[in-house]
Amino acid sequence: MSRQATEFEEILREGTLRLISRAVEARSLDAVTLAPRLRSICEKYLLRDHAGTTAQEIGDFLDTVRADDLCLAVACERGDDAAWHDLMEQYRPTVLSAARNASASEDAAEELAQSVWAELYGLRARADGRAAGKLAYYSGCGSLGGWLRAVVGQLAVDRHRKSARLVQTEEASEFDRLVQAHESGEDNFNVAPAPDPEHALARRETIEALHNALTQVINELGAEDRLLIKLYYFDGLRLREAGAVLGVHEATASRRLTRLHTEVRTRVEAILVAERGWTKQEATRSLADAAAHMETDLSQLLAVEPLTIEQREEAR
Amino acid sequence: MKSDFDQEMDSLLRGHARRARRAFEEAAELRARADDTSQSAASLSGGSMTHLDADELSAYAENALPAPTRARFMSHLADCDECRRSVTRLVLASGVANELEKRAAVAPSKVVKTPAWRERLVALFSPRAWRYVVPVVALAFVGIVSFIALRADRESKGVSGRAAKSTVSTPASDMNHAAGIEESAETQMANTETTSTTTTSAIGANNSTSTNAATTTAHAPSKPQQNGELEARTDSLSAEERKRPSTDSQPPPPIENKEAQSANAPSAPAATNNAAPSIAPESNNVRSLPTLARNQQEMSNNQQVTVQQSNAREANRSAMQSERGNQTDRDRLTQSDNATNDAAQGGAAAQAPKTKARREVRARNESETSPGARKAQPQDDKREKDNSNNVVETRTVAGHQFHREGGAWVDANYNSGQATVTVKRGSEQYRALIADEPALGRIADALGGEVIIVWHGRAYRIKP
Repeated sequence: MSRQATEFEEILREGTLRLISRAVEARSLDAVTLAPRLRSICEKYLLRDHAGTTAQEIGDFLDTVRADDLCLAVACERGDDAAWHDLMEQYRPTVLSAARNASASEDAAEELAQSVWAELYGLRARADGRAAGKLAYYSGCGSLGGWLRAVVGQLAVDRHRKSARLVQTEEASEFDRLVQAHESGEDNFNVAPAPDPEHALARRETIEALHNALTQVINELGAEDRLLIKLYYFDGLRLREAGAVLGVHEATASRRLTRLHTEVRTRVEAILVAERGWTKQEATRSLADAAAHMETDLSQLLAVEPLTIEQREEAR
Repeated sequence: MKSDFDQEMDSLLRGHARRARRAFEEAAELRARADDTSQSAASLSGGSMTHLDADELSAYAENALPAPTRARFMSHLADCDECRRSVTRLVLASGVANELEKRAAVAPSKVVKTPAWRERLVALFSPRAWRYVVPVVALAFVGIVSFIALRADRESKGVSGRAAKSTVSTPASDMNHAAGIEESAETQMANTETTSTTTTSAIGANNSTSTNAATTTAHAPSKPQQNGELEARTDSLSAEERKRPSTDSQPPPPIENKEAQSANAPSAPAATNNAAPSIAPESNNVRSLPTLARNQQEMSNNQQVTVQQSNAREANRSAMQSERGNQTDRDRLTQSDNATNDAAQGGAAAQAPKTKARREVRARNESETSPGARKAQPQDDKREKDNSNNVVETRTVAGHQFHREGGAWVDANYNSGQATVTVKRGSEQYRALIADEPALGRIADALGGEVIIVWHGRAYRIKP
């Protein structure tokens, strides 16, 4: 074994012992049992992304692992009945709550929750005859409750996908239906026709160019900026929620978004000038026109009642 | 915040997002029709190539990842709608937004304090401020120095008077002069030849006698003593000496070892005496005895004054506290008397407030004298309340009725025999619970402390 590997094993052993001492209920687990799990955690979350990880960083990372949650999961994996009892007693509400959020009815939620417990326990058997449950994938980095919610969510998505149903909110589906109907002209939301077909075509091309430029600019943004754009605009989250996903306060997210507006505008205009041969003023004006056009469409698409005949006549 | 937004860009990005979402959903629909299960199978296994697994999602949502790993996951989330929605659900369920708001609510007050304090300090030392600060500081300094000088002068006059009386005894103490200054001080305290020798022999001629002299002064009366009394005091000094730790690390040597004493003499006075720096390492030098005695007397008087002042302050403080308490009691009695007079025609009902007030005053006075009184008082109040109102403390929050029981708020629907889930505030379980049941968290927050709530047929004990 190389010197580095030996050093790593030593650090791992010490970190395991500290973890066991931190745990309020270690459930008779020893370092020999826990070390393989911690080793895989280090390789997955630490060593993979940072080759020059120091011993201090490894030690600090191991000290952040949730000792009690990990010991509970490992004890359940080893078939400890008392641990299973504690797991179900403590996390039954969490699993059921997550199942309700992901299900349309109480019955479906109960069934989903039961499926999750079965998945956790393991329906398949390992080579040694023990059940192969999903608890083996819990690392202890996050809380056991959060992991269980994630498992419930993914199981629900999996079921929906298998039943060939799209998972989306009702508002989004209705909104998109309106958009599709509007674009295909099947609905009654008629807007005033463009006075000039050429002008309409030019506008459509401009909007297309803008969308392409926006796509390019957004893809070129940094991961954090791109994620903020996606969370706020694509997923429809509020700034407070988007900031929480990023791990920042709402005010920070707002400032970042304001900065991004300026940055995206500058880069979109630069692309339009470079690729379309427009002047800066033309690019700016195109952005303004496109924005105004989108606002008009949006306000009409969000109308609750279809336009009456008189209203449609007035719109013309 | 909203006013700073570029409204045009905001509209453009919203329109762009709508368009992109449509495209994504069309693609998803096509995938579903093609019955592509490759992504679904990968979603629940560990180490998925395309999606984050449950462990990675939950670790990201709880910000429990090293920075490089979190950056990698962030990059994936920016491009993967499914994982992004999953992590959003987890983040919102774990209450991260609330934690960030709490941290932000605490942080600004700390940030604001330091610059304001620094600014004030900078302003204080600014050239302009010095115009006003310097004279004030100078005046204060002059005043303090004058006060100390006057005080020292006053005391020295008193010491010199006593020292003049005791000069007769100094020749006798010359025999023990090598033992140190403290011997002479002790001699003068005794005020006779024989007593000085006795004192010296009892105490010893060492460094710590300066402290012992102070001790003697603090405990002994200031008036000159008769021989018998002096011997008794000497004995007590011996006992005090034994009790009190010596400032010197070594124990006082016996009187016979005068050489050792003289060798040890220099260090102690400097270590123990703050009020008379003149008594110092030069103890082996020949000094004028009256001066040395006067200095020693100053020191002992200063300490005596200090002790007396502290005793007086303690007495005043306790007197003020008792007076305040008495005043409060008098006020209450006055109020109850007034209430009684106002309802004089009510007869027995009018007597009740007065009786109750007197009972309370009596109870308070008793409780102040008894140990553990503070712990007893809340229970007394509760019992009084029970006795007077005949009801247990109850509260109704969000349609749930709670009563106070043993320091905890207990749901009226709670049955002690039913299974109870114990959750500690601030724990992961608690956060999970209130994320799932926010109303339960609001009830727990409204009541505070230990709470037993029956929620959807289950009993939860929320501990602080």
